[in-house]
Amino acid sequence: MTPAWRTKTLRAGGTDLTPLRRSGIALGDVVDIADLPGCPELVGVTRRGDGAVRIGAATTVTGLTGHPLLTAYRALTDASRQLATPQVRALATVAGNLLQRSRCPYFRQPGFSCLKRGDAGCDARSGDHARAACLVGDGCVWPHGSTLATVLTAYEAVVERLDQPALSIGDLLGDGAVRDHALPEGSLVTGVLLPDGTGEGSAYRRVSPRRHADWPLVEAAVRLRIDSTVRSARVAAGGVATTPVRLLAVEDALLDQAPTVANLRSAARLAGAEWRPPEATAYKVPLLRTALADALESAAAHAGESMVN
Amino acid sequence: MKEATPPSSIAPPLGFTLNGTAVTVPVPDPDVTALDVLRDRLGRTEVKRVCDGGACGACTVLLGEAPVVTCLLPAARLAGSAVRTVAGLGPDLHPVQRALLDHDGLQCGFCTPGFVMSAVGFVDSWRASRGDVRPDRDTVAEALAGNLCRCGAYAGILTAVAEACTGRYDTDPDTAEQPTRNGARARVTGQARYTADLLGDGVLRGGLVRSERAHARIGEVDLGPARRLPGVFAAVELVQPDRVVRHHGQEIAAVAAVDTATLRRALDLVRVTYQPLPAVVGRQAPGGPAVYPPKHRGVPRTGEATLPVPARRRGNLYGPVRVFSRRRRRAARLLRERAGHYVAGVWTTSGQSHTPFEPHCCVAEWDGDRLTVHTSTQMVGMAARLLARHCSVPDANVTVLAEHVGGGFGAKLEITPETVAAVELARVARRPVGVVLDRAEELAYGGQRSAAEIEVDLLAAPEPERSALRVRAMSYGGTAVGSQVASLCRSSYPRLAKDLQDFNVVDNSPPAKPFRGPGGPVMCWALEQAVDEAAYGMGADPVDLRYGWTDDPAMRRLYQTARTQPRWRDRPPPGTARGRVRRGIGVAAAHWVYYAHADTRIRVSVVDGCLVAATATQDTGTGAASVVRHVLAGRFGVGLDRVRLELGDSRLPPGPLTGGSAGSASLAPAAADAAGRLQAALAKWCTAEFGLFQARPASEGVVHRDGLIGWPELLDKSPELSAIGRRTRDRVPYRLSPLLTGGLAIGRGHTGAVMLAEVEVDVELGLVRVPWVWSGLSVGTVMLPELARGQCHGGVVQGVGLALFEEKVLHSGTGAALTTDFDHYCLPGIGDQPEVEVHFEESGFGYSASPGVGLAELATLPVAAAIGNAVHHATGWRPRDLPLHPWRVTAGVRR
Repeated sequence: MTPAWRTKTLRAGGTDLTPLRRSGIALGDVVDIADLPGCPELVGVTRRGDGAVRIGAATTVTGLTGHPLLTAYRALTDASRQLATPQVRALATVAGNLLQRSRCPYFRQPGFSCLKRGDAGCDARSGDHARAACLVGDGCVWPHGSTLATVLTAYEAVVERLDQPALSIGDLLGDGAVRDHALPEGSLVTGVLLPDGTGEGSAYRRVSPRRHADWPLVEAAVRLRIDSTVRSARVAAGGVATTPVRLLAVEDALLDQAPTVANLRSAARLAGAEWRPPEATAYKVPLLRTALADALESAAAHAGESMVN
Repeated sequence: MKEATPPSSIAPPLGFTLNGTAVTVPVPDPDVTALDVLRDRLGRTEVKRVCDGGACGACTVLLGEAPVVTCLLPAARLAGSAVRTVAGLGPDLHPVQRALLDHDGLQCGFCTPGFVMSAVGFVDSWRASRGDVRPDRDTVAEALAGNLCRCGAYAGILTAVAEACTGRYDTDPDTAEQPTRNGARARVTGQARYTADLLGDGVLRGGLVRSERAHARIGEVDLGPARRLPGVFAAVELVQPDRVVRHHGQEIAAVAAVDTATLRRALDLVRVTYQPLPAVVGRQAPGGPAVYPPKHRGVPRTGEATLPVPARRRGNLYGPVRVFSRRRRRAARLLRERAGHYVAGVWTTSGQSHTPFEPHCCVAEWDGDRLTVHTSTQMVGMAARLLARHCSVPDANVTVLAEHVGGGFGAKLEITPETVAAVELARVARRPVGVVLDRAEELAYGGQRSAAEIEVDLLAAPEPERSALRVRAMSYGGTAVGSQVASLCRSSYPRLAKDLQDFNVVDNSPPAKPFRGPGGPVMCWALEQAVDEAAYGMGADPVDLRYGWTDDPAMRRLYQTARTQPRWRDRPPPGTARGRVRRGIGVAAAHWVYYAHADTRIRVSVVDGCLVAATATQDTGTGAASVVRHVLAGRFGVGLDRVRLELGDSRLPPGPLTGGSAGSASLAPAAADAAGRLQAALAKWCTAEFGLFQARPASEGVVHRDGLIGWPELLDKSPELSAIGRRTRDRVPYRLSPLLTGGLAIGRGHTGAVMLAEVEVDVELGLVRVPWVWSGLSVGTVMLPELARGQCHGGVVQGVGLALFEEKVLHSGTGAALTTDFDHYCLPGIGDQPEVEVHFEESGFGYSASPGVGLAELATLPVAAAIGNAVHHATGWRPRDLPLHPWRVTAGVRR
């Protein structure tokens, strides 16, 4: 028999669901995950035998910051200090952050057409959208709101579910065209798995107009393994598309190169080379390249430190 | 307050510990938030509701040890927890509170309880892990990044919180007992009661039905279904007499119900029939369908004018107003001949929402034909008179009350729709009704500075007589007219020949309202950049050119002081900075009018050995009310603990409205006059009482043949005596008589400001930071320097917001605002606060009845322009459009 909660809206920290229900965008019955019967451990960070780290779905963002088991995951812990505000991070959970709804003003407010509210059209596409995505298809034009989604994309995280097969982070998020995520109804995310980060350098770079507590125009998360040359690279970008984007061309260009500033920057310049951005958001491509170059330099330096340690 | 309980409810009551006491609350609805429970059910009004979206932190409490926002926290999460609000910190003040009092880390106080709780969480954990070590500025800013302050008290907060970490405030400094700022202790302890805090038991909740169309004739407004809903007590129509709505969100009807849930359902039941009319929003409005029919009466005014002047109308275009020009023909000739350095350009600015943290709100109650209104207003006295007229009752029947006002900035200078709604609903319901705008309403309809487009032609020569200026400004005030931008150039560089033309465009968007220094920052953004461009074009130093263009001795001294600032003196030539992050510095100057409310009266009474000063003004967080206490304490030689204020009550002797930077210049002379009269009365009384000979009041007390009785001693002995003082006249005539304006006088002379701003521009990311501002002001003698500096800091923060972040964006089709929360309407945060050096040039205004005159508006006028000039200095690119979004900066620098 299907448990009753599988047909309901699950609530973790509630920091996104609360305003969505107030404005009538999220409807139906709500179940707090804390009240679910027979639920596995949802809070906390553990290290597995194979070196992978498991983060419980209901771990708060603050719970990531400075966690002793996450010292090798600098991109994640740096990001966890920069997203939202201290008072929101203390409540917001990892899974809730991944599954948050669009921050597009045309979605959040009544009176506009929005694909993600089930309308046929998108007012953001024709209206003011300087903060929209620069890599857009036929669907939604607003970037995903989750910074952790960007970081976990770089980590190729695996998303565990209750009594169901795990998903890749990419499968969880989907393409973002008409839904903010692709988690099937009735699924409960219980945790995310990160591969062993020992010995790698990573970095997170966020570009926001305001110094603190601001949404990113673009953001980049990178991981490098360096052994005189770059042995592996994982590069993800947020703020540019409806879901975070892996920048494979950049990763390929980095591979087997010496991690010199010049090499890192020329790889970063490949970001978005084949995109055809709308006029209003074309500025994001050079912003991303700079943010990415910053992140790569920081990750390379970090990788150097990691090797010494 | 009772909530309607859904029948399916099975949830057990919620139990938790609140400020050390166990509480149990039934919470049947899973969507109730912790803020709803704390504030609305348990009456913990110190937990403030501002953004209701997790961005501003005003509702912060400690959940266990962690600061959290309660507006996003489902109430169920409180189960079994320990919650602490600011009221639970006592009985002694927490070091954070003492430090905030000592460093004046607050203004209106509405954000203060949330700031205190975030800071307590930070300071306590910092000291526990690091010891009593002072954290650096950015560490504090990062920890408090979840709290916003609209007044801009960040500078004091940053210092206070860092100091609290050192242990310096573990015991009371003297200032914590009697802080300089009036009402400060009540604000840092959360005891201050604002209008928004008065919607307790027995007050119905009112709300507004708003137009979904930008322009429409209203057919039927069917209130029947709403009225029939159980729990609804009143529903009224608010449609204008011509039955036309002219902007999205215009008020159509209002409903009052027993609680917010019922209210929401009732509002949804109101059916409105619209007959759509053609609408226009934005820059194409001048040629678009007419917003008003020909000869329409009662076009609202923006209030953005020093001296309102009627203007010719063509369709949606009003103007030009040219009466503020000087030697217009000469200007035309000089500009034609171009014998000098010629600069031309167009600058634009965006709408800037006031968004005071206490939203527009009102609680109204009728008793027969007598009306009592609590409303968050900048004008208790005027509000009472206007409401009496609105309700057709005698003035004496209306009382308007506003003890603490959580910011206004110009948005609360009229009878606003929520007040009209509360009054009308209360009349029908025969019970008190409260209406509070939510943040989306506040941001969309609560008021904004007009957007503008300013065209400047400047012919510059070192000699002002050979220089000329033409400014044509187009103000976009929504449905309202009467803004002046170009006209404000009249007081800048008075020897230049000037052709100043102001136009106003109406469209189908919400009306603008006067925002701190109305028109001024917009005027400066264009004029001061044009002057800068001319100076560099001529090979002149921008300060030197301005210096040569003024005769004002105070301005000349300000320029001289600015010139000696090392960062200015040692700057490289403009546009020569290289690399990715480029530093630059810019200067801008401004003038403002010296206003005073000539009718101001203060009654000062002796009550139980203390002085009680009463006047119908209100404390919105400026320094004006505090000035009264200090004047009286000084005159009587007593501590502030013996001077109390009664404000925020329209029945008191007439006091100034909070606007035009007129507060201190109106109140200080009235307080001094009242002190003199009371001292005369005391002298008379003690002559008879003690049988003194040749007694007369002197500065220390009453001098008589045989000695002196000091004022403190006399206050102790005095019976209840009182005297009414009035604002004495200046020693020179007012430039504009108060008789013409209903009380507001324009005094002789202008205040002046010279500002330097330093910027760092990341030219690849388009990010502009403002690390340092030097703010030099000439406003006569500064009466309370610590509070005056706070006003300067706030002016800088609001200027930084205008320059870098704030933009009210409307949907071009409907005129609906897209910036209806603090995720999309971006206020400067504590991390964006520059270091501000304030310099007062204390001279001039010797003829004024007040030692010094107002500075609040002046302090924000040149900020954006100085930043614009600094960006040009750093990058060689001249910014034109506000705000300086990263995409504008990268595009501009690349060009």
